[in-house]
Amino acid sequence: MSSGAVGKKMMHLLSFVQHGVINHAQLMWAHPRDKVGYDYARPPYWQDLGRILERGKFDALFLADVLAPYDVYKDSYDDTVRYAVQCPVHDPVALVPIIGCATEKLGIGITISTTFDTPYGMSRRLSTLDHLTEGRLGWNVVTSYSQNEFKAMGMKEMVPHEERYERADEFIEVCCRLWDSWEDDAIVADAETGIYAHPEKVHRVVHQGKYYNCASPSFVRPSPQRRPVIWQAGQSPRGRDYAAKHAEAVFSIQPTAKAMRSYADDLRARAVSQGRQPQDVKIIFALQVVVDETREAALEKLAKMRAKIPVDAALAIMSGHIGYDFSKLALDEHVGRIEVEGIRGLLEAVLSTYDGAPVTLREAANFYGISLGAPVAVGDPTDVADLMEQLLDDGHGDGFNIMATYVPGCYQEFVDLVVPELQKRGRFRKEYTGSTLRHHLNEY
Amino acid sequence: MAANQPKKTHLLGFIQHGVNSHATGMWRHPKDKVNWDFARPEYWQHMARTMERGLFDAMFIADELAPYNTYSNSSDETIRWAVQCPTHEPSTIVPIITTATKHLGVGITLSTAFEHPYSMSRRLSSLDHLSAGRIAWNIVSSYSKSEWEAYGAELTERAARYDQLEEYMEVCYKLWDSWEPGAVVADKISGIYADPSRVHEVNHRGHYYRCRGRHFCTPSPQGRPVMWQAGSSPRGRDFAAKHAEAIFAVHPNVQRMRQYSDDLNERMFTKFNRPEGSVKLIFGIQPIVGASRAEALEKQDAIRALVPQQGALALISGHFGLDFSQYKPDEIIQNIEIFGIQGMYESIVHSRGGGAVTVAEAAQLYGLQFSMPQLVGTSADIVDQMEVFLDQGGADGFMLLATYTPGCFEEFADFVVPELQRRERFRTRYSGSTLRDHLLEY
Repeated sequence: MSSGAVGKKMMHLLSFVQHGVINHAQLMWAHPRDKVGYDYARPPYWQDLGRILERGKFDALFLADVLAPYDVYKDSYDDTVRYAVQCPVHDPVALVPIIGCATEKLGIGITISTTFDTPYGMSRRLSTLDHLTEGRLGWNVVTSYSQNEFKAMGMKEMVPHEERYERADEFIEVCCRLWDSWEDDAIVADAETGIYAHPEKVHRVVHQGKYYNCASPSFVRPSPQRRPVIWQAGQSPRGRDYAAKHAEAVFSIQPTAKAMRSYADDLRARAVSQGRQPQDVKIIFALQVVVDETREAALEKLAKMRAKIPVDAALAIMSGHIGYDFSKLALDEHVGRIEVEGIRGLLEAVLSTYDGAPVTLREAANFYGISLGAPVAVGDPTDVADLMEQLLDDGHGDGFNIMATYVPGCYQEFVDLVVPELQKRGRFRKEYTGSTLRHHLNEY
Repeated sequence: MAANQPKKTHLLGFIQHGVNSHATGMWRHPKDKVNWDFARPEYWQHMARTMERGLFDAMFIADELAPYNTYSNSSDETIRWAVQCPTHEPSTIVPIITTATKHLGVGITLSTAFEHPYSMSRRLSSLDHLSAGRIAWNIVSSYSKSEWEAYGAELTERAARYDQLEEYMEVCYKLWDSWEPGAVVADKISGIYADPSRVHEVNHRGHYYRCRGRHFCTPSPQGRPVMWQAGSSPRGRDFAAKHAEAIFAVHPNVQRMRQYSDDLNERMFTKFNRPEGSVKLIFGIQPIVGASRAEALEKQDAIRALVPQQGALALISGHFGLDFSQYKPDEIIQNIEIFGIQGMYESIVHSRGGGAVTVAEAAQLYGLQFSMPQLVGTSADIVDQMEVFLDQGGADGFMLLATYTPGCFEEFADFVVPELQRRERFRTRYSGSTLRDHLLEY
């Protein structure tokens, strides 16, 4: 296992992106340096992005997803559509083979909800993608939480919060059984006799559960990783338990080192209580980076981006994620502990931005619109590396999911300016040592 | 098209994302996938380039959802002989195919049974975008117990299947049509990306489906994927005549093709007022080409010898939903009651012009060529036959059933396509850019 300079923890790096006209920072599609000569809906952008990240030795490209446009803010989609608040968003599955073919080592993480799918269908899709990428697939297991998705998929009611995780538990269990259903030596492929595989080594998974049924072996032969790397992003207590039990890597948005530490320590403790080692779960925190040759240039860049975001756009995504219509509050009102069906963790993150001191709606919108409440590392390469080291050490995590601003430029800048600095400090790999995503995440 | 010009044909390569496509046992052939792995991108890139070199309209990806388990109530023989198993998920190779090519379309089989129309229409729009408008959707609704068992659902009533499918299509159409042209303004100065008044919310409350939402994709280059269907039962034929832009059918000879074409034309034009030339009838054939007739026949023998009897029986059991282990190999197949895929059964029974077919013979025949005509000979021989089907059978084009791959498509592109071109029966270059363009070209 490689390690950096004596005693220094090394970090994992991922890019946090989406198959849409923006990623997570609002109004980036309108930035003069965004997707110049590129169309997010066509392969060349994704091929080039993959190559940039691989050049920068990133562990993976991480594809977020939502399933339908947000409609919570003002009880309408209008601002979502108007400002392109993560709308349109195209299907992320289609990008995996495109990025896979343009790269050799880069992992590809993909977010797919279990809520509107079946374990059998999901496991087939993911096995196939793991084959096509030669073992570089990660699956971010999410459960759907917002009304608009349930309405779009024709379900009368949302699945209640607790039940979501119960279902997901069963869902993963069946997937894992399917992924294991062909023994290692089931396939003989003897052209002379015509026998391709030994049926007694291909096990029919028979599951009659509370939420799912299945009676079939996998239709896909075992893929290079056999199972995709399992990711999760659970913030609620139930979600954290779920992550602690199943996840190989966890993604979280926390606004400060202190909040990161609190989360990481808690998650590792839960992992231990599930019989795992504390380092079995890699904890990856979201980070927005705005870097330039000089600190002044970076600050100016960030200020311009922030100024471009209409408060309605920020509140539209915040409302959509958290599941609360923030048009009900005045901008100078403090955001309190409201009951939400959405991502509770994001509300918690926003509320703890000032370490417990009150946050107004306007302030929350400012944080949320640019980085969903994640910290923003702004400055010259040294500034950024300093902050990343500090967050890594004080935050007790294992790495960062780098959020996007204008693309692919922001990643080009990060790879050209920040990665060399991190490598110099012994905080990041200089070369890949393996070819699967599981290898990269367990390298250190 | 000028009056006295011969009718041109469309061509598609018919395959599966598996160790084997349709013809059982082909993975055993010494020329099959030499140093290619069907589960890796390179093979699909090569297949795609080969078909594009041959100016094919499209590669057509068939699919089932789970291994057949009707024979002896088990999937053992399916697994043992690789009877269309393993088969990997089909939509995943579509972007690989389209990034390796510029013109080749891709037809993809996706079932409506286990995916909500909202999700399906997003998946297809995304693929159509990524391919710059080269996608066709082969609409299937899943018919076999193995598939429903795998997904943990109860098999629905056959009769209601088409009612449900109609409603499914209705929801998809509404979604694909919901962004008005010009809805996207993408004004960087004002920060307005799209005009919400021109992006309509679909609010569908039907018997089988509900959907309330805005389509999550901007309109793709084709707007809607090309609609493809394989209708054989009367209800299925009506559905195809109404919705499809291209219809795939399997008939063993020109007489059955003619009957089918006449019937479909009647439905399309009389019942559903489809404009002339807007729907293409595509028939399946399995070409085996050789430099000489003798060579082609030798090839055919070698190929036939690869079909394992048990595997073939597992295949027909799965397709027809009937456990053939309950019957003796020499039993006459016409005497057996069958439900399952209507069209293919009729074809098997008529494959000898009405003569008796035993269970064993049916299995061997179907296991290799799925009761499509097998065209064996020189390029000239094969094109002779194709011309008959085009001129007298009502065919607008052909789906080419694979034998060993990629060789069978390389051979077709290298030997048969030039003969078709020589006789002015096929394009000599692509003239359009979308799959719909290719299909409407002639």
